[in-house]
Amino acid sequence: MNIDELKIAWKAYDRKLQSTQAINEKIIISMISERSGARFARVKQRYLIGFLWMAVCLSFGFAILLGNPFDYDLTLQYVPTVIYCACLAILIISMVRSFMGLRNITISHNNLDVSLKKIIAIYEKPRQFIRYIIIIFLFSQVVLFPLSFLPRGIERMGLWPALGERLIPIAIAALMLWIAHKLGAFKERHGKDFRNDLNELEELKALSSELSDGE
Amino acid sequence: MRLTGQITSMEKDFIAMINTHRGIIYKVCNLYGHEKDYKEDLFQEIVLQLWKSFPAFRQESMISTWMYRVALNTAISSFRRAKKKPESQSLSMAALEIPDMTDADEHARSAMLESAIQQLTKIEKALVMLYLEEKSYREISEIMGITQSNVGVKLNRTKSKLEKIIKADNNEHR
Repeated sequence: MNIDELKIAWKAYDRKLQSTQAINEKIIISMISERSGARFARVKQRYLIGFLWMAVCLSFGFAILLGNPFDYDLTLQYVPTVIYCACLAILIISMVRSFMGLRNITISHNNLDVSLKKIIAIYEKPRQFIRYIIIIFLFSQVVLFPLSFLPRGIERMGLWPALGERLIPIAIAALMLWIAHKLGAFKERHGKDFRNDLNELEELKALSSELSDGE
Repeated sequence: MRLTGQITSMEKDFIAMINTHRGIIYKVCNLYGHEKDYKEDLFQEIVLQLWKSFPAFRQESMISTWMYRVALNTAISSFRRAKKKPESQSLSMAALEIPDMTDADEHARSAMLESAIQQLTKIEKALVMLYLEEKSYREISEIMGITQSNVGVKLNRTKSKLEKIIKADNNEHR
């Protein structure tokens, strides 16, 4: 058998498809409704949980800024909480933008190469951006937040003893994060999804380079 | 789009278009799906993507070219769905039958064709499909988003690869 014979087989298959019964219009309408409904319900639910969690965290930040429960005297002491609130606000904005982007996704006007590149960009851009935000967020909470109590300590015991005292909560927080990391708390929670994302990304990159190869 | 109620003229046009060119969607589903569930899932996703882009489709390109582009885009970029079982089998899918390639009249040839094509990469599958459909280099270039010279290079490579696969399969069956 050669390629020309395959063409004959393909034509036979084409004829077979042309002779199949037309698809009922109700089936077409219902499959669109079902698919759109199920997908957006899932996406909305995921985003709603994210928004609620972040809104609760953000309200804690605002409570600190407005109510001053830690009796801060200096404006500088509010910096970690301001960073905390700013990081959460950025994450919320990023989520809103992704949500709006998801709602508008259509691949009609993109050819294959363009759409693959677009998908790769969608995968890579927020991940990198969110990683930076999370690093800043953790740094502000693990290091800067304990240091916000330093002025009071200096008043009580002087600079070096106060710095030494502040190193204790920083070390404990850092140790807890390290232990959590070692126990797989960050990795395992969405580890499988993350690995799947990475595999998909690698496959997309391979397909994209396969298309570009030879130009 | 509503599930019940009167169908609008746009919906009627869309349904007519899907039915006229249903073979394109069936072929893409069969090339990119191995399991029945996945084929049905992909079929549904392609119809949804076509519906989403239908209002913006201005017939600047041929309907079949546009349908191939959307269907192949969807099939190639829908990895995630392949790994997940559908949450529930939809009611509409129960009434849909996607004919297998091996259901065609010339069973032995069709089986050989299917087996050979399944050994190709996703991009090669798309190229072979468009070649077998006797699309011009210009149309293939428009659908795939690569230059016409690149289409020529890739198609020649893919045809050679396909010939080798067929040869190996033939030797195996002797």
